[in-house]
Formats: sequence, structure tokens, C-alpha cells
Amino acid sequence: MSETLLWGLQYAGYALEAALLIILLKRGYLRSLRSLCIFVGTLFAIDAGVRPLSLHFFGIASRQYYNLYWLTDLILVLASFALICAFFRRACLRHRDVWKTLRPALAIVLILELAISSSAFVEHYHQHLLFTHFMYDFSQDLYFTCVVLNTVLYLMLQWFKDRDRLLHLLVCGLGIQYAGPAANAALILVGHHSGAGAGAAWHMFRYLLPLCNATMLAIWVYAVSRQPLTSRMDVGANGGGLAVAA
Amino acid sequence: MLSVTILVVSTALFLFYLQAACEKILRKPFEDPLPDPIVDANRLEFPFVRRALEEYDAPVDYARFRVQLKCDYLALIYLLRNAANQHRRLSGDERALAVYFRTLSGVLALWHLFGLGERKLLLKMTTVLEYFANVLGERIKRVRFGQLTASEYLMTL
Repeated sequence: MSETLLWGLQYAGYALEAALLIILLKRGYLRSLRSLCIFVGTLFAIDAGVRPLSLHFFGIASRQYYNLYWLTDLILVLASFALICAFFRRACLRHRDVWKTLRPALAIVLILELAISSSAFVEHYHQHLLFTHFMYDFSQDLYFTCVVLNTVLYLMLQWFKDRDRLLHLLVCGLGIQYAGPAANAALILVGHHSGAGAGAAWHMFRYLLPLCNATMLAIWVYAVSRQPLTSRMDVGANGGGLAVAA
Repeated sequence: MLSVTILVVSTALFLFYLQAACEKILRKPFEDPLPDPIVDANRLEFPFVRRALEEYDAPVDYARFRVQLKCDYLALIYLLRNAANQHRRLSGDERALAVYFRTLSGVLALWHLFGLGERKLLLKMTTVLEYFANVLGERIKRVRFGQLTASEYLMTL
């Protein structure tokens, strides 16, 4: 029963990824929401292509699958960081001075992340797991940075009183995808420290991760399919002639 | 200590984003906000509950308002499923908002138990019901009964 549920959640996620990609392309968002299209395309290619294929060819216990899994995880975290940066840019369409300040700040955040995670690189320098340890630490650190950045972005949208409904929904969806697993990961750590409940938290994590992913994709599908086409033009028209490329 | 802080903040953020997504869905613009024929024909009470909460500074009649809103919710859900709906089921966003309404209803009971202010929650619940009425209004507008539209038909009753 539990395996069927897990299987159902995973395949619901793949179906939503494919549906979202089709809607984005069909409704002509390739120009106006380029980064979202790239992100969803990457997500779909990794989830439905690269990972199942490597699992099929190398097996779940193989070193190749292990390396590939963490490498694709790193790619996805980097892609979501880039997506948040693109959302920041879209949010600042009418506030170009804010974007001028934000752009170097976001670059500094990424460099700082690299610097902090490089401690794992030095720590595991003489071990065979050097590459995966670094990727894992960097992914985890960048993931928590994305949780914070997404919250900042949401607050910024509230502060600007932005009427871009599409962006609001996209940010909310991303927030759910980040906050749910982050809470569960913290619960696992708390369980480890207190010596109880870590097993149950791990079990919950197996379901929560695909569930949050499916929720995010469902919100995005709703956002892009229900968004009137005219409102996309409005953002562009009011953006002082700037191309709306988020 | 750090893990507990992350746990509390992330859980709060998770619930906050879920609520924010529901609130955004509720802000969908409608051509004819709050269609009177739907409200009148089904004797819906939520517009009066809202008016009582917004315009009069009277104490909240928790028991009465809760029953009124729950009855409206059941009526509107039934109509959304069965009135001018070929599939006889709720769409994804309607289902999400139905869950949101039930969650608000549960939170309302808790807040009442602990003596916290219920006014804001009751207003949020009326917003969900207004959305349902608007969806129903738009759907029924498209259906024709002979020479009359559905709303004209309802006005003749």
C-alpha cells in the first residue's frame, strides 16, 4: 500500500512535469518565462530520463548511479537558484535600481556558498568520496539559501505591491517545494539529537518530498494555464519596454 | 537548537505558502462578482454574515455564523458538483479551496476554544464561499433555458 502510494506520487509528479512543459510551450511562454521553461525541461529530463535510465543500466547499488544521482541533484539545486534569480529580476521590472543592487548581492551569495561548501572539499580531500561529499554539502547549503531567498522574494513582492499574479503563484509553489522538505530534514535532525523519532521522520520524508514536488507543479500548472494571456502583455507594457524574461 | 529553529521556521513557512497560494487563487477576477441570483435562489447567508462582521462592531455570534457558513459551503459544493457540470466533480482549484475552507473551519473551532478572535477567520471563510458562488455564476451564465439565460430564469422563479 505504502509503496503504491509512493509510486503514485512519483508518477503524478512526472505527469505534472510533462503537462506543465506542454502548457508552457503551447501557450507561448518560451520567451516570456524562458527560465521557468528551462527549469521544468531540466527537471523532466532528469526525473523521467537520466535517473531511470542510469538506474536501469547500472542498478541502484552501483557507484555510477550514486554519483549520477548527486550530480543531477546539484544541477537541480543550481537550476532552482538560477530560477529564483530570474524571479527576482521579473519582480524588479518596475524597480530597476533595486535590481542593480540585487544582482551583485545574488552573485556574492553564490560565491559565499561555494566558499563555505569548499570546507567539505578540503575535509574529504584524501578520501574517495571527495566529489560526492562536496556536491552533497554544496547542494544542502544552497538549498537552505534558496529557502531564505524565496522568502525574501515573497516579502519583496508584498512590499512592491506587485499585481503580477503569475509570479506570486510561482513563488508560492516554489516556497512549498522548499519549506516542506526543509522542515522534514530538520525533524530528522531533531530526531537524531533526541534519539527518538528519526526513523518515522525518514519514513515521512520519502512521501513528503514527492508530495511537495507534486503540489508545487500543480500550483504552477494552475498558474500558467489560468493566467489570461493579456495580463502577460500588461507586465511587459508597464515594464518600460523591458522584455519579461523570467 | 538550530535544528529546532529550522523546523519551526520551515513548518511555518510551509503552511504560510500553502495559505498564500489559496489566497491568490481566491483573487481571481470575475466579470460579475457575487451574482445575486445565485445568492437569492439558494438563500445563501454568507453575504449577510460578511456584512454583519464588516459593518457592525457587534460581538461575533460564533455558533450561528459557523452553522450558516457550513450550510452555504455544503450547498455550494453540491451545486458546483452537479449544476451545469458535465463531469460531476470539482476541478483541482475548487478541491484545493474546499480543503482550505475545511482547514479554516477546524482552525476556527480551535481559536474559539482558546478564546482568540474569530472575526478574521470568518471573513476568510466568506471569501472562499464568494469564490464558489462566482464560479457557479459564471458556469450557469453559459447555460440557456429556452430563450432565457440561467440567471434570467432564476429571477422569474
